[in-house]
Amino acid sequence: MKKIISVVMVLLLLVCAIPMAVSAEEAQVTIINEAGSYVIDASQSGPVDIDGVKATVTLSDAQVSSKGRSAILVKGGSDVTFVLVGDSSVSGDADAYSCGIEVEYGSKVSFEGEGTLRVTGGLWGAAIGSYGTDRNIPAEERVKVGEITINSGNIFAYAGRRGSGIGSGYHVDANLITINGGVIYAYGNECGAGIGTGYGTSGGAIGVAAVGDYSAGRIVINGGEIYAATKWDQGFDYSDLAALNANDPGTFAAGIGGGYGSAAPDIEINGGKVVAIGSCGGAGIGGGRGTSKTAQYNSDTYKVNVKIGGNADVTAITANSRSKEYNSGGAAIGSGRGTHTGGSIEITGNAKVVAVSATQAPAIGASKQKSPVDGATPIADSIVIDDNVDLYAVSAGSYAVDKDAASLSISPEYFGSSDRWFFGEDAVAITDITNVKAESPKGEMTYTVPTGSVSLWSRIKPVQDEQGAEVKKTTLGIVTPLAMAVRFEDGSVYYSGDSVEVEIGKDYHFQMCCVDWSTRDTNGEKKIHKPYETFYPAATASQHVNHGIYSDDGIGLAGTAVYTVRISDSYTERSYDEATKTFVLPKGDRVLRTDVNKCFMAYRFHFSKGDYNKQTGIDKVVYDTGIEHENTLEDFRYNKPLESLSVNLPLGSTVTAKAYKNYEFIADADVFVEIDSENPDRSYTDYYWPY
Amino acid sequence: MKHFSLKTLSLIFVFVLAASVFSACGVDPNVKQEDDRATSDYVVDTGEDTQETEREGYHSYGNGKTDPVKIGGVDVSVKDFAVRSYELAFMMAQKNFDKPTDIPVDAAVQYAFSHVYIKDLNTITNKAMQYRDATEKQIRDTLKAYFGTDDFDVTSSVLYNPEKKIFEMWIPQYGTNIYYTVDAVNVSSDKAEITSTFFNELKRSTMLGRATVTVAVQDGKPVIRSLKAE
Repeated sequence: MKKIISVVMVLLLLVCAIPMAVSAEEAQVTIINEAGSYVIDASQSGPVDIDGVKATVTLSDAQVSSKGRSAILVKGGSDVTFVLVGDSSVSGDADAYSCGIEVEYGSKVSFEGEGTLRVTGGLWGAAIGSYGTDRNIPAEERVKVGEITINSGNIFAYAGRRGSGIGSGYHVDANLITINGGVIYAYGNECGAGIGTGYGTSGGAIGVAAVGDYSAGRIVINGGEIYAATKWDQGFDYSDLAALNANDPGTFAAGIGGGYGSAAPDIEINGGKVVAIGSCGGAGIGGGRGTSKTAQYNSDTYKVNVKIGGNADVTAITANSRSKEYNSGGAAIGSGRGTHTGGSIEITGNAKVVAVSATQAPAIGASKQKSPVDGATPIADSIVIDDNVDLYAVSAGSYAVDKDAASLSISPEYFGSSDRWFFGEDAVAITDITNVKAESPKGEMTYTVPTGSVSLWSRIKPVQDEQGAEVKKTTLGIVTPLAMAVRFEDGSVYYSGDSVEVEIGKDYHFQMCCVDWSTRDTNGEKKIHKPYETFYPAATASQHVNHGIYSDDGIGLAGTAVYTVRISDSYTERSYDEATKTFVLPKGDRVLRTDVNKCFMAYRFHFSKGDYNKQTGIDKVVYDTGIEHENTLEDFRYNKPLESLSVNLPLGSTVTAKAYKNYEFIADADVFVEIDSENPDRSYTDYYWPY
Repeated sequence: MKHFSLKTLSLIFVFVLAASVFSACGVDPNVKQEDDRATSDYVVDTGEDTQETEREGYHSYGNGKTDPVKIGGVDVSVKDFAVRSYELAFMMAQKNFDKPTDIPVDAAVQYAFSHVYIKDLNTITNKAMQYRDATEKQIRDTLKAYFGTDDFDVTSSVLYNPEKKIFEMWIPQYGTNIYYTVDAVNVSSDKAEITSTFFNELKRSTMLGRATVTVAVQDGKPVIRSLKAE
């Protein structure tokens, strides 16, 4: 018996020992030094070295992390293709100089496959690229980075401190980054660019490394969908500059290009969709923020060259950190604040470009803060914008395009000769921050610009239909009755204050919907919709409350009546035909006002024997959500049946109304919402419960 | 001891075998499997101890009367008129009319318009709201088919576009499941009353309402004459 017990004990010990051995194995570095194909999956968690080989490495639901070094190191002149399968995570050490995937100079990596890679840099390190040092050092002493190519996959690259998302680390130049496809979110950190260099320098001395001495190398984008920001939570919605400014991380870097103190000598975007946002004086696409100190600036090395062409769809933004002017001044495309030139910018081919800058810089060109070289206002060396480019540029306080560039090439067919081009000086009288008015050969025109912009924009490229005829597009503002929305034929739902891009002369069908009142914001926070006053400044404060939500998923109700809106090519034609339910709007005042025409019916619910302490609710609209609330006025107002309920309802809908006494259910009734046949001109209907 | 172990093992084996049979077939013996009839047509006498299972999408689930009612020698599907009753009483909120022309024109046209495109309105897919148009002839033909009359001023409807001379409508969000029991009685040689009781759920425990529709045969086809619902 004792023997048996002993044997069992030994077996148990062996079984216990197996995981310990595996664990010890995992902590070791896996070395790939023979050419071939390899798979790193969930069973491999320790760091990996790929040394001196041409290899294909599949990351299949891999979870690789490291201590004291990069998680994956590609070195020794390796040429590695990473194939992405499943959802993999690779993380460097936040406490040690490291990357997620470190690519030593002389090596190159490419990414393929359809999987997802979440990669995070370590201290002073890029997520993919190089780590750096905490010393500002001459170029010859710096760590260098290899070449990075992305062909496909879903890549989320989060820089470590002072690193770039994809590119270099702290005090390191980037090299060659090529993106041909994939969906990429690249985020810098603490003055590192999303794609490009990490933190360069805030100023040093020429001979060591001044502003401009660090370089983003060459960045080529041929395809894919790329979102590059200077921090992971910066956001990309340029329609609300106030929100962008509030979220600005204050990191002085470009979205794509230079980190703080870094130049961007060679950025080429030939295709794909690109959204890039700079921060606090860094460009959206271009150079990082510079310095005002001459001794810390090197005008010989600070260069910016950006070429956008092909069918690229580019959105470049610079924010204005915490709305402080001294935290702004980066161009959307061009240079950062505290530099001497906007460099050379070419936008050609069929590119579609949206460029939005905060204050003290044009959207395209040179920052207008004084040059650290001579104190003069910087200008771009050269700007070329071809005829076929579709451009939308907005600058808050400067020219949309740097009109003072040393060389400015824009087709004279458009420049100042039609309504398609406007520059700051053409609209100096602008005071309305929402609706920009400008004189043009066609009369006064009004344009809608993003919230918070105070100056101007330019726009080009007439769209052509299949027959080659010009298609003119413009924006249509929406105003709805309280707690209602409009839904267009493509399924898009718009609320008061929203706008939609439409073609001039084209009919658009829409329907009226009412929202679920329980989705309305009762706290005054504009969580969902733009402020009502955007298009309806005369509205009362209570009307400014957000409007709640309509959705085809059963939130709110939709009507059946078909309405039509068309923007006329005229400045004066305006009508609403009640019979056809058709709005025709002049192109000078493109606001669809469904609140003042009979596009709905207001139902007022009463009780025959008195309204006191009796309530009405409507399924999907005004009802008790069953959610516990604080017993406040607002809760009763929006989430409970109401006394003397008055509700705007869409024609053709059928509502189930419910009567309550002291919030106890009494009865219900189905109501078909229609025009009162006895009073067809009246826009309200009184409904009486028999109680 | 040895004998007991074998017996136990046998029981376990049988149990495992039975479990594996059910498991492999994916059959839950507590759920009655549906047949093809249930998805497309009136369900014949499901009885007290059986019930249909709730399905994805929108359907009507009937119970009660088993056979078509004969009116003037014409077989009339009670299921169809149970659904028509629901449509008129609850979707269109027309709970009481002595003759079809008592229905307000907007509701009548919307009802006809919907039926130009969909037979049972409860099967409409709510999440795919679509723009549709229809001619006046289509509207009138549908009104005649359902009510035996087109004596409505249809072009006064809010759905009519006089410029285009067509009716336009966003298909309404009528998609829902209908649970009901139905019975029918011939009240004369050419009329029958079909009474449907509607419920909120499949097991038919809480009543939503009741509707009695009078159906007559006109030109060899059944049409709605009146409706009373609560």
